[in-house]
Amino acid sequence: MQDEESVLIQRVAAGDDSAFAILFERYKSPVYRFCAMILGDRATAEDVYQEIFLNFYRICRTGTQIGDIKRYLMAAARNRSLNALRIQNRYSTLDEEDFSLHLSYQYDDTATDLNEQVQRALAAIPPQYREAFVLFEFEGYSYEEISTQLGISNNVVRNRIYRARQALVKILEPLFNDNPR
Amino acid sequence: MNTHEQIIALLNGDLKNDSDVADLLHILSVSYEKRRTLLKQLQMSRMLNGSARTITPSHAADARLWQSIAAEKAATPSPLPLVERDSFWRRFFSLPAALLLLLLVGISTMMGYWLRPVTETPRAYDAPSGTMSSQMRGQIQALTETTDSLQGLLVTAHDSLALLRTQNSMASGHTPSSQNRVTIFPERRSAAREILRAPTAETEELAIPIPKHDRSPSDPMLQAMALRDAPVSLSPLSRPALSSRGEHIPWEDAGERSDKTRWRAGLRKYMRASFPQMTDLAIQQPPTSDQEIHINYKLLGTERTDFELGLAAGQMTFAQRFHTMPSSGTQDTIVEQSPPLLYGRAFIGSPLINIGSFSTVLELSAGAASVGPLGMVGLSLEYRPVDLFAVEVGASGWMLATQFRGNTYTSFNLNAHWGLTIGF
Repeated sequence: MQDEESVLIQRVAAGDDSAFAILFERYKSPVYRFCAMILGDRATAEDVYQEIFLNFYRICRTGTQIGDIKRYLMAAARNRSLNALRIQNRYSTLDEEDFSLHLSYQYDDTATDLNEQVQRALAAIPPQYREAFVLFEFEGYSYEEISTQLGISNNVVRNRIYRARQALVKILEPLFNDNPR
Repeated sequence: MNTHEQIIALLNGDLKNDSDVADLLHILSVSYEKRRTLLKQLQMSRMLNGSARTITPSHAADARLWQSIAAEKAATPSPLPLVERDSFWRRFFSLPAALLLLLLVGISTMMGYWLRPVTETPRAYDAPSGTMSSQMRGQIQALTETTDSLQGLLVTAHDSLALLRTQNSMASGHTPSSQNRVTIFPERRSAAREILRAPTAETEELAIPIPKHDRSPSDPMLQAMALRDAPVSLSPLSRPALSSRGEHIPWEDAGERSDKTRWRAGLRKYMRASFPQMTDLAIQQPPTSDQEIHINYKLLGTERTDFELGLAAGQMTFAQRFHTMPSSGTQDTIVEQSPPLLYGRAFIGSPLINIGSFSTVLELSAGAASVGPLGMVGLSLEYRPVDLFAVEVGASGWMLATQFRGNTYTSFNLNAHWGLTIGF
């Protein structure tokens, strides 16, 4: 896989856009999904997503080899998404010892789309929990991989995922089938 | 770890101790509240995963990205040469397909060579067409037929005389020696009997039509007349040395043609002569760019069917310009590129006009580059001062099909070329 991707990068460097199209189609969904879930805002997510791949294209054009493209792109997605949150003042440092969840979620009776409700719920939990949970739940990363990716210990990863689950159940509980509103 | 944490650990795959799993399952079996907790977690996961599947980038976002990439590419030409391309060729024109293509080209050429329209079976001593006038050909044909008929008559007459001599010698008590023994062929015996049935076989003239157009001393007809008029004697008569019909009588031209060099190898250099010119896309060119090597085999027929079959391989910077329309249909992008491509091709060369050492050759070719199939039509003027060496100049039109983002685009180039060919 990595050898094939090295060849694809060489081809992009030689001006072959079809090689970049292969890489783009391979990784665009996980990168965009991560951005959208972290940012909770599709318009901002699309801007970040474009920046990530345009920058990736520039790097490929220089012929720079990247060992693990998915890891590189997910790290870029995380950094750019958190930067976007900081710009929007939606990011605050997390006190790992503070076990109380400060959820900024209010149930919206007017929102009829279930997917929208779920995305709003996900956006309500702190981004630090969210990123660990998204990587674990949707992208299939292990604790160790998330630990490496986020630069935190395994236990912290485990704790954040646990808290994210608790928070999401609490928020989404009114939507469960046996709990009619 | 409390029960709630154990439930989440179980869902996350962290609860690996069998006794812990057994304890948790026991708690779940007896506690309604714990079962509710587990079901909520499962419902939440299902809901989130269902929602996540709907999160995909829009086509508009993709189109904007490609637009940005096109602008980026236009601003900064590629700094590196092409190393390898994911090839349309590899996907659709694998090695077996390439071999099949070459085989078809070869078979079609051979069939064209062998099934060319011929009104009669060519004889070994037929002169090649185009080297003599039709009048000369007619005269040669008439002479050939006359000679053949005279040869037949001569054999018949000779055998008849031999039979008469044998009968005379038997009547006079002489036994022909083995030296004088004449073999009478069965098919000629009947002809001799026909002659002997005539009432005055020895005195009357045989009713044999004799053409009068050739009376040269070496003419077989005169020999036959001399035999007829000669007095019958017992002296041994030598059988005339006759060439059988159909014996190979090569013409000088045919001898020269069979000695022609059939295998040739050469080098050809191409120069892009026309559109699309994309000098602004100049990238680092490998030293072997726009050159090819080829090997040819000449099929000797008549001059008009002196086909050459050949294989060529080389590298060429193929200028390409095409419009792409992404799936969203919102953005039309013009792609311009001129990558150096490796290619191979099989070709058929057919002579058109030959004047002395100069000849024009039409070349049809099919092959593939590393990005897709290509075709070529070329016309060359060849100067061959000696049979083993030739120089050529010419022009050729090239077509290349390129796979780009899942679609195939066709590009055309016109090139000039010159080259050297050596026979072996």
